[in-house]
Amino acid sequence: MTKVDKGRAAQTGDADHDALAPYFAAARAEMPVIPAVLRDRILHDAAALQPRPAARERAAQPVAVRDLGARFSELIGGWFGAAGLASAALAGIWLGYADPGLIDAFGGPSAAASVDLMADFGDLLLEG
Amino acid sequence: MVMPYDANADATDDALLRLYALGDGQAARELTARLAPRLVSFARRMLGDVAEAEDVVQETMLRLWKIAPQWQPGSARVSTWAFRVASNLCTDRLRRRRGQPLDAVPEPADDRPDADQGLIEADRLAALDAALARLPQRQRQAVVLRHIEGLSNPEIAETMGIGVEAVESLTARAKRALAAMLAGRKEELGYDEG
Repeated sequence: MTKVDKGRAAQTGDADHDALAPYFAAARAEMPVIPAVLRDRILHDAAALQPRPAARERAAQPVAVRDLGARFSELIGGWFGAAGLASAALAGIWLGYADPGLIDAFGGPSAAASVDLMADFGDLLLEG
Repeated sequence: MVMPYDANADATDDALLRLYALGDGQAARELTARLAPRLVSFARRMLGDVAEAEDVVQETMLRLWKIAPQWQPGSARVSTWAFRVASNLCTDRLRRRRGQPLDAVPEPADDRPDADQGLIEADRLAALDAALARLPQRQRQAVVLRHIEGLSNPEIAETMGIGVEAVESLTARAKRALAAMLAGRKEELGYDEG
């Protein structure tokens, strides 16, 4: 397109725009109103799809962390499983570091060795 | 007690969407009040059918609610995103119509007061809508978004998935065609004084 053609096109475009301006202005001035029924349908969808609190907390975490945490939690049975696992781990550490004498005092291995839970079992066998 | 509707009136669309994702029901009302009327107006002009336009707007808003928890603030304007979804839904419906017999396609709708009531403004709108309905779909989409919904050319380019120059070309051709179609009605519509 030559410079002259471009100039003509621009003039034509301006003329078109001027001719249409009142129509566009009328359309813009129109105040679109949505019917109450449509608004209710939209807000019903919004309420139905609004994230629940647990989902919102999950959404706030980074995706990778959330996935790992969720998978581990499922693996060990949720919060109860996690609490049990933590208790067992602490007990294991305590057993590892505690004074053996103290463990004996709580019925540790050496004390258990001396306990005969069924002292009279041999007599019962002999009696038939 | 009636909750004020403008509690979030100063918030950006981004912020409202985030508030919605955090459980604020009022944010959904505010977003609906901001977006839905413009979307209905746009979809009605694209489809020429009020009921279909309303279905498109409901679907568009539904997709917005679904995407809210993953919405990245600043990634796009919510209104541009919504117009893009509505545009695509309108395009799908228009494509489906092409396979239908002509009688099944609704006439362009005009639910405003007509000329018989002596309202020249309504007559102008009806004339504009009738002329818009005769434009090729892409030209109609571009010119409505630009000159009625007030989107910028880059926003329209994003909405339509084309370049800015293509948008300019579409709107120029659309305006030329509209001007030709409406030229014969100037006197009738009260534009003969100038």
